[in-house]
Amino acid sequence: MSNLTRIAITGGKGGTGKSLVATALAVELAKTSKVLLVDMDVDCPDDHLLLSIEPKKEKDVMITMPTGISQKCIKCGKCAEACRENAILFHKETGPKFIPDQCIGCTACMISCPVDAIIAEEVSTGSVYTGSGWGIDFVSGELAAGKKESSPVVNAVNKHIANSQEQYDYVIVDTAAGTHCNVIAALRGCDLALAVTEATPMGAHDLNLILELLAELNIPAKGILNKAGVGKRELSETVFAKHNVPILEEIPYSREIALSYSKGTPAIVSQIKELAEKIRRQKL
Amino acid sequence: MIINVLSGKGGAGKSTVSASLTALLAESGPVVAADCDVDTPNLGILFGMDKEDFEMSPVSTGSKAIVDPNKCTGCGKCKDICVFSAIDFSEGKPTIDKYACEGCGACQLICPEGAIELKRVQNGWVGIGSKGKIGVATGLLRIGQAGSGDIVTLVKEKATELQSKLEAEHIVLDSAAGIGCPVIASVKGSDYAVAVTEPTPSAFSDLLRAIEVLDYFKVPYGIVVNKSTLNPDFSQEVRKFAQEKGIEILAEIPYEISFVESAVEMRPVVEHSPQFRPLFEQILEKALSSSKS
Repeated sequence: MSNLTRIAITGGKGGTGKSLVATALAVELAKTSKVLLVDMDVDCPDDHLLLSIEPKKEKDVMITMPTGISQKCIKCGKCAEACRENAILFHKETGPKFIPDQCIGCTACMISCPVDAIIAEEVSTGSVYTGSGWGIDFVSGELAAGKKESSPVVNAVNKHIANSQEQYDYVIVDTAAGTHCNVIAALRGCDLALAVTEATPMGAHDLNLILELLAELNIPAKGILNKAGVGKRELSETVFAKHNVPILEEIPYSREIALSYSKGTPAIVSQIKELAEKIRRQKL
Repeated sequence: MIINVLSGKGGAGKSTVSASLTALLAESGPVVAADCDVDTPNLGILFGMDKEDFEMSPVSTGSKAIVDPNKCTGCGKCKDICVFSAIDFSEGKPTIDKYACEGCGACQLICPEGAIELKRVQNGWVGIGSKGKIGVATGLLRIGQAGSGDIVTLVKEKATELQSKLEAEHIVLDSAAGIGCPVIASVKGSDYAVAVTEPTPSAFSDLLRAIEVLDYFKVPYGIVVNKSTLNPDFSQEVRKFAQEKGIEILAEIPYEISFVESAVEMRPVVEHSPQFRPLFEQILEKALSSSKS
C-alpha cells in the first residue's frame, strides 16, 4: 500500500468537472492498481451514470425519528424545549406535534421526556450502493429526497471505506459541490485533494473557499484547471498562487470530453493519463 | 412572488438564469435577488458586485458540545447517544469532533454529571447589498462550520426585509447545488420554481431528484434545458419526459461561448448578449403567469 492512498476530488463550484476527473482517474489508475471509487455527493450522486455502472443497494441507512405521542404525555413541553431544530411544535393544551421535515433524528426529545411518552420509528434517511465496472469497485451514498439530514448517510459510506480501504491501492473520493458538512466529511482522512476549477470569476471565488477549507483541515492540495482555454486563466492562477497550490494538470475544453461524459464512458484523455502517472510515481 | 431557481446538479446554469431573470425584472421596478448558496455564494459576481458591495453581519445558528473533563466520569453514555459519530473515547474521556458535532444537545441531556455544555458558535454571516434597482441578500458559511440550512433561512428573512424596504414585488432565490438542507430551506415557501437542467444523464438524474423535493413541498415548477445544443438527442429525451409528465419546458437555451464571456465580464446574459433576451423573457413570463393561475 502506498502512502498516497486516499485522494479527494473537490473544487467548490458545481459543474467544474469533479466527477469527470474522479471517474476517469479511477479507471486509469485501475489499469495497474486496485481502486475504489467513492461518490460522496449524497445529494446528487452521478458517478455511476458517468461510467454506466448499475450499482446495487447495499443497505438502507436508518435514523430514529419521533412519530407520535402516547397517552402517558403530561404536556410538559420539555421535548419542544430540547429540540434545537424547531421540529416540535408545542401547545400546553394540545401537546407536542412533530414536523418530520425538520427532524434530524438526534433523539434529544426522547431523552428529555420525563415520562417516556414519545413513540419513535426507524425510518430510512438514505441508502448505500455498491457496484463495479471498468476494473474498479464503486461505492456511493444517496440521501432520500425531502430528508435534510445527510450525515448518517455520509458516515455509513465512510464506514464502508474504513472497512475496505486496506484492500485497495487507491481510494478516489468524489465530493459534492460547496464547503458544507458533507464535503468536510468526504475530505477528512484524505491524503491529498485535487481542486478542480474553471477560469471564471465564479469558479475562482469558490476555489478560494475550498482551498481555505483544505488548509483548515490540513489536507495538501493540488490544482486541476478544467475547460482550459475557456474563460480567463489569470482568475484561477491568482487564487492558486495565493494559496501556494500548484496547478498539476490542465484539461482543455473539448467536444470529445463532453460527448464521452454524456455517453457514460470515462474520458481518458492524455491529461488524465499523465495525472495518473504522476500519482503512481508519487511525484506529487 | 418568490421564484426559486434550482437544479440539483452544480454548474447547470442556476446563477446564469437567476441573474438574467433578476435583471429583466429590474427593468420595471425594484427587485430582490437572494443568494441561497451560502457555501459558495457567487450570484453577486454576475451583477458586477464584489465583497465590498455587501454589508455583512455575523450570525450564530449553531452550537457545539464542550466537555468539562473535571466533571466527566467517563461513563460513555454521550458516545452511545450521538447519532452523528461526533464523540470519540480515548483514555476514558470523551473528545468532541468539532466538524462532526451538529449541536443537537442529545449528549448534554443524557450526561448524568452535567459535564457537557453547548456553546453557540459564529458559523457564518448574512447581509445585503444593492446594484441599481436590484437588492441582493446573501450569506456565507464560515469555513469548516455546519448549519448552512439555517443560514439560508436567515438569508430569506433578509430578502423579505429588503423586499418591503424597496417595495419590490418579486424575490428571485438562487439555490445551492444538491437537494440537501440548504436547498430544502430555500425551496420551502417558494411560489414557483425554475428547474434548470442540461442534456446529460447526470444533470437529468439530478433534475429528477430536485423535482422530488419540489413535489414534496408542493411547489409548482417548469424546466429550463440549458446548453441544449450540447447533446440534441438527450435534449429530446428531456422533452419527451416533460411531455409525459405534463411539465412545461420554459425554454431551451443553446450552448454558446458568450455565456461564459458574460460570466467573465460579470454581467447578466440579457445585458451582455441581448440576442438571448427572448429566451429569458419567456421563462419569466411563464413563471409569473403560472403562479397566478
